[in-house]
Amino acid sequence: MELLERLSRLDRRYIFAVIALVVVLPFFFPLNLPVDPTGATRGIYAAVEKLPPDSLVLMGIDYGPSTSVELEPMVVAALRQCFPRNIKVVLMSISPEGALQSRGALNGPVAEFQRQTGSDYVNLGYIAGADKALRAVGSGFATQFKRDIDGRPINQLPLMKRVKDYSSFDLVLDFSSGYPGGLEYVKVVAAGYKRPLGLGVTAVTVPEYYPYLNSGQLVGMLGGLRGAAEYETLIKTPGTATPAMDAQSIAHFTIAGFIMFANVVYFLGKRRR
Amino acid sequence: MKRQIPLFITFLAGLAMMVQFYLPAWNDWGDRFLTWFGILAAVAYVLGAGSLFVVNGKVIQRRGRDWQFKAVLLASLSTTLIIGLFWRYTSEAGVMGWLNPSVLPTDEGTWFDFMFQYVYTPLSATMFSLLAFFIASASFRAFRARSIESTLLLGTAFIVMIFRVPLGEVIWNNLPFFGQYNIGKLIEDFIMNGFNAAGQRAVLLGSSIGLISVSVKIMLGIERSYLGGD
Repeated sequence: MELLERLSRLDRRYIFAVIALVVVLPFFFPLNLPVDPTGATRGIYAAVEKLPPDSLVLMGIDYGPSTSVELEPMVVAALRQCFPRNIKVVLMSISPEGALQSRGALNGPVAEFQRQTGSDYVNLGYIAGADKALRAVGSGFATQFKRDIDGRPINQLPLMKRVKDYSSFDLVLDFSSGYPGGLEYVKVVAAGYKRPLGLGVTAVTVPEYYPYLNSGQLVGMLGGLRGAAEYETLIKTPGTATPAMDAQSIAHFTIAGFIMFANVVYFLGKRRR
Repeated sequence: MKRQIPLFITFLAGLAMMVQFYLPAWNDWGDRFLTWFGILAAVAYVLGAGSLFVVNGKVIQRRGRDWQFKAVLLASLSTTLIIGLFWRYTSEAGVMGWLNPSVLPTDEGTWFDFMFQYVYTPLSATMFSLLAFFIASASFRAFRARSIESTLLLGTAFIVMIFRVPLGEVIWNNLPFFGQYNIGKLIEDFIMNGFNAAGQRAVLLGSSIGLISVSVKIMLGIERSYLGGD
C-alpha cells in the first residue's frame, strides 16, 4: 500500500531526467527508423512536383523560434524541391517573427542551388495586420510591399514584375504555428481567391486543419516534425527532421509508458481501497 | 458624441466589409478599409507599448507585487526598441548613427539581428522545449481512466501517440495478422479524418455562428465592451 502510494507520487524530477535521457540518447545512437509518408504529405509533394519549370510559388513564413524546429525543415524541404526545378519562390510573413526566420530557412537552399535574389526568389518580409494584411495583399502586392526584406525597391526586382496578386501564383504554401497563419490563408487565399493551398503546421494544431483537407480546400498538409520528416523522405534529401524522429519515437513511447504505469498504480490502489 | 462617433465608424467599417462580398462595385471600398486597417494596426503597436509603460511603470513606482519582473520587461522592451529604431550599425556598411536609412534593423549583422538570433531565439526555444518535460509530468499525474469518456480519450491518445511515430509503425508492421494493414492509413482515415474532423467541424460551425452574432451585435452597438466600460 505504502509502495503504491509512493509510486503514484513519484517525484517529477525522475520523470524530467528520463525524458531528457530519451530525447538526447537517440542523437548519439541513431535508430534510423523508416518514415512512411501519409496522404496529406504526399499531397504537398505532388502539388509541387506537377508544377512546370518557371512556375511561381508563394510561401508564407509565419512561425517564430519556438516552433522553428518543427517548421523550418518543412520550408527547407519545400525550397529544395522548388529550386532545382527552376520554380520561382516569393516569401512573405504576416507574423513579425516569421520574416527573420525566413532568412535562416533560405540560406542553406539558396547557397546549395546558387539562386539569385530578385530573379529566382524574393523575400518580401513582414507586413502588419495579420488576416487583414493578407486580404489587402490580395488586392495587389505592389500596393502593400514597396521594398523587399533587404530594402530593395520591389519595382526593380525582375521576378516581382510577374507578381500582381494571388492569381499570379500557381501554388501557395504557408508554414505557421498558429495565429496568424494557416487558418487565415484558408479563409483568404483558398476560399477567397481559389488558389491551390498547402499548409505546414505544428503537431498540436494538426487536428483543426483536417476539415479543410477533407473539403479539398487544401492540396496537402505537413503536420509537425513527422510531416517534415515525411517530406524529406519524399524529396530524398534527409534534413534535420528525419534524425529527430528517432528521439520523438522514443519520447512518445516513454510518455505512453508513464501514463500506463500511472493508471496501473491507480487501479491497484483503487482495488485495495 | 464620444461614444456615438466610434459606434458609427464601427458600423460603417463593418458594413463596407460585408457589402463588398455581395456588390463588386464596393470591392474598392473594402480594399481601402483594409489599407486603413494596416495603418491603424501599426499605430496600435505604439499605443500598446505606451500603455505597457504606463501600467507597469506605476507598479514599479509604488514597488508593487513582482515589480522586479516588470522592470526587466520594460528594460528589455526599451533596449530592443532603441536598438531597432536608432542603433543601425553593421560592420559591412560601416555606419553607426541615428536613423540611418541605408541599414534596416532586420538586416543581417545589425545589433537587432544579433539580439534576435542570440537572445530571443534561444530563450524562446528553451521555453518551448520545457513543455516536453511538463507534458510528461502532467500526463503521469492527471491522465487517468476515471470514466468512460476519459477512457475513450486515453485510448485514442494512446493509439495516435504510439502508432504515429516510426517506432510504433515498425512494431505494428511486425505484428502477426495486424501487420498486413497500414496503421498510418487506419489512423488517418478513421481517427484524424473521421472522429477528429467531425468534431472539429462541429466546433468550427458553432464558433462561426457565435462570431457572426457577436459581429452583428458590435455593428449595431449592442455589444460595446471594446469601447471600454458599459
